[in-house]
Amino acid sequence: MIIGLDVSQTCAERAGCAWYADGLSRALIAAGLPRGHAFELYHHFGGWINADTRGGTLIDDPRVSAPLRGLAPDKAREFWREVESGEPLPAKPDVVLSFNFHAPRLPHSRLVYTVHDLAFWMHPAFATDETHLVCQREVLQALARAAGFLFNSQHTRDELELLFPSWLRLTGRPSLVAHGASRFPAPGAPPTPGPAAPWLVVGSLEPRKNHAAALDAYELYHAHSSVRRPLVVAGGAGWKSDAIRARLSALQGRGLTVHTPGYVPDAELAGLYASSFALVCPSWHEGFGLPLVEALTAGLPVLSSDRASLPEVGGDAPVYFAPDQPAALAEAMLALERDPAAHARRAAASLARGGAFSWAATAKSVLEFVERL
Amino acid sequence: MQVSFIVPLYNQLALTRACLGSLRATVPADLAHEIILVDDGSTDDTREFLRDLAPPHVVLLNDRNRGYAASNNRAARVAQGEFLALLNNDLVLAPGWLEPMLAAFRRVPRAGVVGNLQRNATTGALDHAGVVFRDGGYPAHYRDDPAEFAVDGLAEFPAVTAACCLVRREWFLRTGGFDEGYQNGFEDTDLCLRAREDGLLNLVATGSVVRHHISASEGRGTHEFRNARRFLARWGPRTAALEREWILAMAQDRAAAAAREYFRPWHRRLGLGRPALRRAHRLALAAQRRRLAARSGRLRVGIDLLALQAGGANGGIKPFVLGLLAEVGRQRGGEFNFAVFVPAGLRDEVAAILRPGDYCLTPADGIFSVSRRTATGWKPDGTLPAGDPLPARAGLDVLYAPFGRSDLMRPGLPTVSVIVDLLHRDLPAALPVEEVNHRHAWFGQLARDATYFQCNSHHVAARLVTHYPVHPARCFLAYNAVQGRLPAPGALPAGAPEESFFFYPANFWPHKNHETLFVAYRLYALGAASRAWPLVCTGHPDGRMDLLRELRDGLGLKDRIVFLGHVKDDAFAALWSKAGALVFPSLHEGFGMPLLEAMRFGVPVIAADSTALPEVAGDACLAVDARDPRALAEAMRKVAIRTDLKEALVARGHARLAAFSLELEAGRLAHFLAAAARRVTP
Repeated sequence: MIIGLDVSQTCAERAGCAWYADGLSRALIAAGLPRGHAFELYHHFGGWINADTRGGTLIDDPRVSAPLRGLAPDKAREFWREVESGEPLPAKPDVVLSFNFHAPRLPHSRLVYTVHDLAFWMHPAFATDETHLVCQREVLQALARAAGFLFNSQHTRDELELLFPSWLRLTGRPSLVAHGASRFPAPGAPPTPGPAAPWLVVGSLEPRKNHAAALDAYELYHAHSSVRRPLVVAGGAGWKSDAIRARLSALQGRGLTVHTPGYVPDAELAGLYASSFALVCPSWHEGFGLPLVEALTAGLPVLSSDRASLPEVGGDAPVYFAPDQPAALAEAMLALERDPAAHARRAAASLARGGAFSWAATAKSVLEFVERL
Repeated sequence: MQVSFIVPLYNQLALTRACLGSLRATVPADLAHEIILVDDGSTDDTREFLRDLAPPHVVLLNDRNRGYAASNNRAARVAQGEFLALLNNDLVLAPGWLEPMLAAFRRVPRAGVVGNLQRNATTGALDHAGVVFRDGGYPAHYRDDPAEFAVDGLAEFPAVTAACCLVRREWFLRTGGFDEGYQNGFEDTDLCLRAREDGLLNLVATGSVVRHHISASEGRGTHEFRNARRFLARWGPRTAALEREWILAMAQDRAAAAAREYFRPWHRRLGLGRPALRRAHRLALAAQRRRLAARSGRLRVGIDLLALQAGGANGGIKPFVLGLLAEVGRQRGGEFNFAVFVPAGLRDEVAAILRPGDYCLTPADGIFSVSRRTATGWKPDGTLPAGDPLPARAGLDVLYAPFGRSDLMRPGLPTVSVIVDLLHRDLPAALPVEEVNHRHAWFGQLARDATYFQCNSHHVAARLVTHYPVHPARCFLAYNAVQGRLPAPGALPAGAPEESFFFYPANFWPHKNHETLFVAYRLYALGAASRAWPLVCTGHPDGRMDLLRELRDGLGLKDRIVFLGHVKDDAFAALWSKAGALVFPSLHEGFGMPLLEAMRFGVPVIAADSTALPEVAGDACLAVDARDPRALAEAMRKVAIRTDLKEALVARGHARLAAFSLELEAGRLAHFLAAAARRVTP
């Protein structure tokens, strides 16, 4: 069969959804080509139009085409307008997988829609107006149009059930939990942290990620620790990040060792996972939690918020805390630092838990799901 | 009851006794009145004194010192009289003081705050004949006899002191009374300037003379700096302009020499020039009066309704503007003539605002070309060439632009521009990017070129001032008080449910947030099962309505959510009379007219807790975060089943309507149109 894949978000600076699209697309192609499937990659998708598609995911294979790559934005908009008004996609794919929240009308193909999270409805204060307006329209479009649903976690599927009680059951629409996985290979054994190995926080600076709690906790930790490890806050400036950026520079001004490398490219991020002391993940809400799974895969101990999808992904490996309790987080940081044996146990547990997530396994189940549609 | 005398008290019992004695002695025998005494936390024997008072005295005791404004406002809320006579407790009233002030309201229907002449109780010198502005827009008592420019015993001043003044109670309450942000100072001037904004005149009845003990009140000087800052921030540019107007008038009035004398710095340093200033002010006031009297000619107001569309595509702005203009014509028809510009075929839509002497032009009349609406917004299409003589040819004195921008704007033609929201800056995601850029460009032009901005709410004015270089003094408020516009209910439109329903009248624009409402509605309907009310959506049918239909069907709510498209006024009234509740989850509103319509029809209101909606709804609304479907569903559930809540909301809504009067809003618009046209300070 011919399978269309939305890789539109991979063209821009990549966040969680984009890495999900990239990872799952690559794995689906790897698993699907031997089974006789052909693939179409869409570098613009629905209402998501890129100014430049050159950075997007690309696979070099005769059975993988990228018909929209290099298409100028106005042409791309025109293309999707025509598709919406009934024109079939070129190569007439049997199934099209959306990863970017958009649910265009595709009368000639079956749409499989990926729900990354419903935070814009569950916790509206954490969503931008734009996210709210676009996502609410597109999710409802998906409910009206999609033939099947992928959820990046059981938690996200539960959110849908909370907001749309019994909808999946009543409509008989099939769905599948398709966990993400790390884009980095797992080491053979957990790395041993250096004496100055830092605490690591990964994620764009926006209210939902709750950097404030991490900084509160770090200040407490810093006041009580004899080691005083640095803190690395990796992630680009997101929405409403002024306050947290001001806080970061204030801490730096007071002489605390807080590194803010901004958005970190791939290779560097892999290095950070390998060389840090532990990951701190204080989010109020996550649909999946890519940094968490990447840290687990890298064998890094994790201190994680107990909200949303994080316990589902982390299993028994992390030390959990409530995101409104920075003091508890600080306690956990100090405890982990004082007890090297516990650190080693947590690292091993992480590595073991990380093994539960692989793109190959997710792709296999997604492929079977798609074939059954 | 004709007059409620209001005297706030704070200590000074001896003065209070004397004041009350003179009041009782001078109240006309046949006057139905009450005397409301508000003790503002006196620490002397005042409270004991008050204990023995009987009607017509009404005594209010503040639990602590709340200040002059709050004391008067409290008294006004319980007062019964048609007029409020606001009195300081250091006055000594002489027989015949009240009658000329009351007469002013009979003779001048647009009288706002009426004051009188006040003499120093000790020296007998004239201390107040009105309030003028000097030293850069700062209020000051005018202390010369205004007899020479008074006409029939009435002199118009920009403001008067409230130490002894008369106002209509209804207007005083509607305007919110004294601003309690001031502390014992400037409240009266602020009130008078608001009266001017509402198209009212502040008058001094020169036949009424009282004496008072100057600065006997405590706490006056203490807050001078803070009060002045608040006052100048709000009115400074306008009062400074009023001052300049007089200086200009002075120059034309052979008083130039005296003015120059005064403004020479060394004269000021030497403390000279006070007599010269007084003389200058006197002459200037006289000149202004003559100028006003000379302007008996009607003003021709151009009204750009070229963006008007048939049916409901314009949203709330259309019924509002047409209702407002009809009211301006009704109130001040003798002063204004309209020249209305409308698209071809829509003459009938504006027929109701035309009066004798008005005319209506369409592009087909051939004297101007118009813009047209394209898919992405307003694009000029053969707009008038620069310097086109149209406004001159049409003889316009002022241009009114209800849709904000206007292709009829010309250098030298004063323009009053209506700003309904700042959606493009505060929620740009709700508009196509081309529309955002387009609006931003023309807002920038308006900020530079328009004379005054009519804003839908305080919220809109605040956002306009935030996003564009517009001083608050160029903004005035006109609430969309057209709740009375609808005719008697006719037949329900086809497809409307027979039972109670949730009602959401709104065009299908993205910021109206229908999606979240649908999710909330499904949650509500599942919970309420067979008792669930249906949801009725009206609005101009467009592509997004079709999309919302598709989304509704996807949720399995085909039978429960009804789309009726745009409905005629009588059918719309019928829907209001049947609706169980208004649900208004819009993410962005400059006003929100359906809230007032719901209140008028006794329908309880659920509305979003953001933008202008809290300002309009007050306490008469169940406010929710409209982005949160679960909160919205819970609000719907409560309103549908809880009779007590429903009744409370309806009662509060009914009370809330008193704050919205089309008459008042139209008076304000008329005032600003006239000020712009005559190039005088509003």
